[in-house]
Amino acid sequence: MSVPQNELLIDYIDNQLDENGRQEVETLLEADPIAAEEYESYLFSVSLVREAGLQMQVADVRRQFEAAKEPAIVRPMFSKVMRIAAMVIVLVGAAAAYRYTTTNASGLYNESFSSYELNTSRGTGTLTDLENAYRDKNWTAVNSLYNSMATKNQKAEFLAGMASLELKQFETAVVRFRSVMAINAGVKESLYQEEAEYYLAMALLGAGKGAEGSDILKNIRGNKDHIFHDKAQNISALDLKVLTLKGNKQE
Amino acid sequence: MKAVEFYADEELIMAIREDRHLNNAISALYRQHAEKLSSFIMKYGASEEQAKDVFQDTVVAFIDTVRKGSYRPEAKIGTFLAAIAKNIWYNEVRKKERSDLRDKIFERGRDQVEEDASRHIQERELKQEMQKLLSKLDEPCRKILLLFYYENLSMKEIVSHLPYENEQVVRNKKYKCLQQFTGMVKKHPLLAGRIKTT
Repeated sequence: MSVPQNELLIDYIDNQLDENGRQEVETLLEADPIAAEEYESYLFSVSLVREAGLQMQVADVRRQFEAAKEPAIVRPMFSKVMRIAAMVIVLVGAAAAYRYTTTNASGLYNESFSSYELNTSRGTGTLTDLENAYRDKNWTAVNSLYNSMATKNQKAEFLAGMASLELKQFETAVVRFRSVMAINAGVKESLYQEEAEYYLAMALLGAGKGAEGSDILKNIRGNKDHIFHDKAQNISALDLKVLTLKGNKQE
Repeated sequence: MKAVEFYADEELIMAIREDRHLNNAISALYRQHAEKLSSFIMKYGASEEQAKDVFQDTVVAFIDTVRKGSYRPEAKIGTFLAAIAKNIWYNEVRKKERSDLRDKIFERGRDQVEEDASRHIQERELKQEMQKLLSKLDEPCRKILLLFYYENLSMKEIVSHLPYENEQVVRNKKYKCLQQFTGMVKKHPLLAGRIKTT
């Protein structure tokens, strides 16, 4: 079978043909058993791709569900250990008190924030301009281009969020990263989701909303498949606990 | 669809049928049914991990059933999921030839819901082979096929997600990828036999 005929069959499956094209293929399928067999093979392959896609999506949700449910580890305590623990508790308590007073959300932000590098070139028009401005670290231009866009996709929201973060406009960054997630919640293909989650946590820390930022970072630490898992792991668990205890105090 | 709340059966069915916010619908199935169903399957001898795997397969089979219009609204989702899960676990047990457990699972025979549920279950082995075969494609091919056929994205949208020059380049790549994948399917001993012959 010639290559164009294969492509014609695929276009037929994809519903990409006009009425004449469809009739041409239907006549071919009736007349040519080899073409009909090829058509069934493509149809079956497409059904396998769809089935595999659903399996992957359900597996992803399962991972998230299980990560969110991970139980706390309960360790038995013994009296001897308790006695030793009692001896060090004063020291630990003093250290914890020091940690409590010195740890704050914006401090943690300054320690943990690192810029997001945009490596690939995709798309055309305004989005490319946006990417170029981002690559040039021209944050105000990124924001202007973003504001001029009629429709904003996940990438535009994310890059504009990062530009705001670089300009230390934390509240704006929070809104834009949340927009990425809101768009993702309404579409099947999530884009920049994990990037938005991590940098939303950073923006919240920068905005002094330590408890909220800390909760997101804890979730990322609990998900080994998260692309920012390692970065979140580098942030002290104790610091995150302190921020949770302190709540969302503006600093 | 709501992000994190309880969903009535009708809301879940509608979200799946309309293919909107499917992630939220799957999350709701997990929140509302995973624990109960896993305990249910564990009563039939499954380990905790096996029960979780069975529930995952149950959700896939359930969505497939709803999409194909075979779900009967008179059956509650919980009841239908239990019937699917039972069938999946029965197939697993049968494969391992544990006749003691097999008899226990359907000791009272199958009712109508369980009969309906059994029609939409693909063997786990087949599913695994499907995944394996797809993973043998290179990353760009896998992504293009999934974005186009599963996510239903247009060529234009795919261009904005992947590093390709224009829609025609993606279209040509997709032809090649589907042909390559079909060639692999035809050579696969388990999958090739499932291609419909005309």
